[in-house]
Amino acid sequence: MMNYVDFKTPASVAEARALMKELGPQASPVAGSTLHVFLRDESPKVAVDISRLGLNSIDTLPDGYRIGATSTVGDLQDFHAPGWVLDRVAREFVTQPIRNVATLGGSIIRVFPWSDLPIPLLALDAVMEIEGDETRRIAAGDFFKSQPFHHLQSGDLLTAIHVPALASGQGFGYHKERRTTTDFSRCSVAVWMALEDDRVADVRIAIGAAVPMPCRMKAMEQALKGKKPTQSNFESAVQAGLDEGHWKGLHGISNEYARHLASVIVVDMLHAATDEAKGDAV
Amino acid sequence: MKQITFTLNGRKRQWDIAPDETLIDLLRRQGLTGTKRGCDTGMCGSCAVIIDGRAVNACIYYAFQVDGRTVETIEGVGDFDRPHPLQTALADAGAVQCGFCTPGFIMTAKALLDRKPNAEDADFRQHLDGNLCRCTGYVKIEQAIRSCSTAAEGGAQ
Repeated sequence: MMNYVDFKTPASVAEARALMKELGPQASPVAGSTLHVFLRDESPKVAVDISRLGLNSIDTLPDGYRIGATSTVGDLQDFHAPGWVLDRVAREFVTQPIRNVATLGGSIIRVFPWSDLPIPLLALDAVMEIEGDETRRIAAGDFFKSQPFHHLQSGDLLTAIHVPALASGQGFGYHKERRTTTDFSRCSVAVWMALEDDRVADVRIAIGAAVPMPCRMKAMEQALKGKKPTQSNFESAVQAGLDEGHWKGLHGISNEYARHLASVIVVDMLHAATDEAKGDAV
Repeated sequence: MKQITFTLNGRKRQWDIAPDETLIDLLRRQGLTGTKRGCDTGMCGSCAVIIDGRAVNACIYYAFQVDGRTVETIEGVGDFDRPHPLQTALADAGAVQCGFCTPGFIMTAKALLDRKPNAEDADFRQHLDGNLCRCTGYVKIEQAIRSCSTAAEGGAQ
């Protein structure tokens, strides 16, 4: 936990930003607080409660959704709309009392090897909105290249995440491999795919937990483009791209097993995305 | 110490808290010991309380976060003279052995049933996935809680 010596409860983004600027490195933004269980910081901090800034709505845009950064994982789970896929991811996120408070922003601003939510955001090519002296947008690929909080300067706030809606001919697959609901992931995979004329027109594959930081598997994606969505094409593309991953087994599994696990799950999720793109999803 | 104001079991409270105090520490310090400290890492659900209608683990929630919010603990749910239907159902089903996890189960199930009185099996499985019991094997707990749904055979109690 953290060594909080004071707390502030700002009522607006402007007030929160001003406070965080004034406090500098002493400021510790808190939305759900579940992240803080994993943090050990003895230095005195001032908690800035950012859960009441009106950043918890999910708005429908012409081509997708704008999710307020302090929307909880439970909000993502309960939201249902055309082309919305994050409810499938949210359901697999730890347990209900934690889904009820953990926020999307808090789950992606500091990434752990087993973090769930960066993976679908990479596969969906989401865009993060940061409120600073001016509003900035950072695509998921850049946002997750290193620890995302390094993108923030003093007083900056991650305010929203834009995700596209699945369109016709597109599909999504997500799997988190774990033993129990509270277990950390051993390997998580998200696949977004667009089919045209029964060929893979575009595909994005993101992996987490079996690698040090969630990442895209671009060699696999490249090998799949233009191919028919078949088991043998999926298997050969995945095998061809496996060396791109820095496989690292977590929680007692070997690096070799992490690599194998990923190869099996990616093929399964390519099928899941294909089924949905073809309109065959259950 | 700094003062917060919130609604606890229907009554407005103004309590002094330490900035790094968790909600479970605050509640138990104030004598509300029905909220049980199990794992202290948000994994077992024995400390579940309801905040603004949602079940939350009080062990990983800071006390300052409830400022201005509405909190419900097991003490506000019912007592021996006026038990809540969930309490009656759990007792009748023999779903309580050591009882340590029971307040957490009741709060989590209540949060679900308050929002969805006709909750079905899939709802219970999803919403109770954060509550651990090391005595009963869950079957009687599940039966008892399910019987409180209006979707159950015979309707809610």
